[in-house]
Amino acid sequence: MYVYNDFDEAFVRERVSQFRGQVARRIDGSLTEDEFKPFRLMNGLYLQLHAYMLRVAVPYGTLNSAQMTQLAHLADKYDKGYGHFTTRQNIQYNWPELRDVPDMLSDLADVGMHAIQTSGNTIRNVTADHFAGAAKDEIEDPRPVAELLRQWSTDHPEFQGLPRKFKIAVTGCEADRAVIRAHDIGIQVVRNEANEIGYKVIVGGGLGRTPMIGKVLSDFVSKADLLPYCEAIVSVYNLLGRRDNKYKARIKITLHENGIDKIQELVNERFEQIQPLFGGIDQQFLAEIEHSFAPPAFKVKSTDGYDAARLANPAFRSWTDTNLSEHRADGYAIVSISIKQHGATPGDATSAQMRVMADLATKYGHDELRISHEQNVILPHVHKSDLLAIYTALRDVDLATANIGLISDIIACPGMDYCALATARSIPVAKEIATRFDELKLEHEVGPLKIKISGCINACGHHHVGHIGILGLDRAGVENYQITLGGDGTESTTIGTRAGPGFGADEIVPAIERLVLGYLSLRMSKEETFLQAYRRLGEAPFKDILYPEKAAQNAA
Amino acid sequence: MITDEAHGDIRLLEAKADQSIVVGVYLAEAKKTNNGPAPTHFREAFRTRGPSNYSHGKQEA
Ligand code: SF4
Repeated sequence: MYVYNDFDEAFVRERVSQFRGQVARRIDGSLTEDEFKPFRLMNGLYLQLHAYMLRVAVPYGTLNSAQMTQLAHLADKYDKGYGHFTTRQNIQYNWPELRDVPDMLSDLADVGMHAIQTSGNTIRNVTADHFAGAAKDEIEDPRPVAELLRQWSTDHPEFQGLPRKFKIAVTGCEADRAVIRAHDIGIQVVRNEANEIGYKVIVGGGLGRTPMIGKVLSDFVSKADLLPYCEAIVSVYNLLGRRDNKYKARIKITLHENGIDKIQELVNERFEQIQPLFGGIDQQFLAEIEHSFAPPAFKVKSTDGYDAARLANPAFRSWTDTNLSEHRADGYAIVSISIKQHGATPGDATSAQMRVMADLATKYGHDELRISHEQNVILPHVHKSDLLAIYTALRDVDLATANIGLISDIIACPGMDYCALATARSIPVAKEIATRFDELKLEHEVGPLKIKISGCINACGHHHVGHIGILGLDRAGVENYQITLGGDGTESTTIGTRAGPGFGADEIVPAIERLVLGYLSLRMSKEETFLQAYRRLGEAPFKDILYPEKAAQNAA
Repeated sequence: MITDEAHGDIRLLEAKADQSIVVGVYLAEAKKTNNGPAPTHFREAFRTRGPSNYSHGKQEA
C-alpha cells in the first residue's frame, strides 16, 4: 500500500493547520458563514439537515488496519460511535462539532488520510475496483494509477475551479466492479495486440439528473501517456464545460453538446502540447508507487480444514457461498463483509465493528481492507484456512450476514434522514425491503438482484443502474417512490427504464414484493436472474405486475 | 410563526445575523396547532426530530 512521503505528510499537515485557523476565525466571528463556506467545502465539511457532516476520502477504497482503527477512534471521540460508508468509497461522519473538525483532520493525518477534495468543483476521490490486486480476472492492479491520479489531482492549481465536480474511476479488468461507465473519466487496464499494458479511456458517463453512459475516447493509451492524456481531457473540459447552468455543467453534457469527435480532436491537440512537458517525471513517480503496491507474500497452506468446516456448519457454508469471490492466489479468497444486516442502515458501521474488521485484517488479511462502492467492506487477501475464524469473529458483531449480491444487499444514499438535498428518505425503504425478504426467507431463492435507492435526482444511490432502482421524490408534499427497471452497473452498463407512476411510502415495499414474487413465476429456471428475465421478456410483464389495476383494464 | 411577508423577511435577516447560533436559515411554511406552530412539509417535520434510523438529533434530548 502507498505510504505518505514527506511531501504528502507536510502538505496534509499544512492544510490541517490552515483549516484550524479558519475554524477559529469562524467561531470568533471574524469570518461569516458565507466567507467560511468555501474553506469548509475544500476540506470535506458539509452542512446537512441536522448537523455538519465530514466526508473523509478513502483513496481507491483502500485502507490498512491502522487507518480503519483510526476511523473507529474518530467515530467514538467526535461522533456518535459510527460512520457511514458511501458509494464513492468515502466515509461520512454525521454529527461532528465544528470546533472538533480540525482535530479530526489532524487525527486522520496521523494515519495518512484526509478530507481534501471530497467536495467542490474539483477532481474528487479516485475510486477503483474494490477487488483490485486480488481479483483473479485482473490484468494489472489499477491502484498505482489511481494513486498517481490522486497525487496529480490533489491541489492541482488548474483544476480547483472546474465547471462542476469531476469523478474518475479505475478498474484493472474487463469485469467492471467500479461502474467506470458512469464516471466523468473511466479508465480500464487493457492489453493491445502487442500484449502491452495500457488503458481504455471512457469519458462523459454519469448518473444524476441526466444519466449517460460514457463513450470510449481512446481504446488504448499507453502507460507513459495516461497522465498527460487525463490532464488534456480535464483541461479541455475546464475551458469548454458550461458555467452558465449547473445542470449542464458536467462533462457528460459537454460531450453530448459538442460530440465525441470534437472532444477527441481537442483532447488530442492539447495532449500534443502538454505531453512533452511531463518529461517522464510522472513515470518515475509511478514506478515508486507501483513498488509500494507489490502483492503480499501469499502463504501456501492446506485448505482441508476449510472444506471440513463448510461441510459441518451450514451457516458458515451459506456465508461462504455468497460472500466470497475468487482470488488470484491459490488457497486464497476475497471476503466481502456485508454492512447490510437485515433491518440496519446500509453502509453504517459502528466503531466496535470497525475495530473487529481492522483486527481481522491484521491477523488474517495481510493488513488490508477495502470499501466497496456497494457500501460493504472487503478483506481482499484471506487464506481459506482462516475463513472460519473470520466468520466467527464477524458473527459476534453482527457482520456475518450472508447476503452479498442478494436483494437485501441494497445501496441506499443517506436521503432525507441526513442529506440537505434530498426529496425523500431512502434508508427506511432499504431497511423495510431487507426486513421483509428476510421474513419471507426468500432472498436465496430469488438469487442475484441489485436494488439501489437514491433520495433525490442526484442519484448518489446509483438507482439508474440498479436491476431495480428506486428514486425518492417529493410529490406535492408527500414522499413518493419511482421505480426503474433493468439497470446494470457492470461492463454491460444500462440505464434502467422508468416503470410508471410512483408509489407512496406505504406502497413501495409491497410493490417491490409483488415485482420480485412476479419474477419468480416468470423466470425459466432458478438460474435465470432477475436481470436476465427482464432482458428476455422486456418491461411489459413486469409493469403488469407492478400495476395490476392497469393490467386488468388493458385486458378488459 | 409569522403571517406577514415583510415581517418574515426582516426576521430572516435577523436570524441570518445570528451567525454564532444558526447557519443555513430559511423561512418554512407552518400551520397553527394546539402545541404551537408546526411545519407543513415533511422535510421540516424531520428536522424538528432528527433522522428516522437512530434516535439522534433533537429527538435525543
Ligand atoms: S441522491 Fe440526493 S438525497 Fe441521496 S445523498 Fe445524493 S444528494 Fe443526498
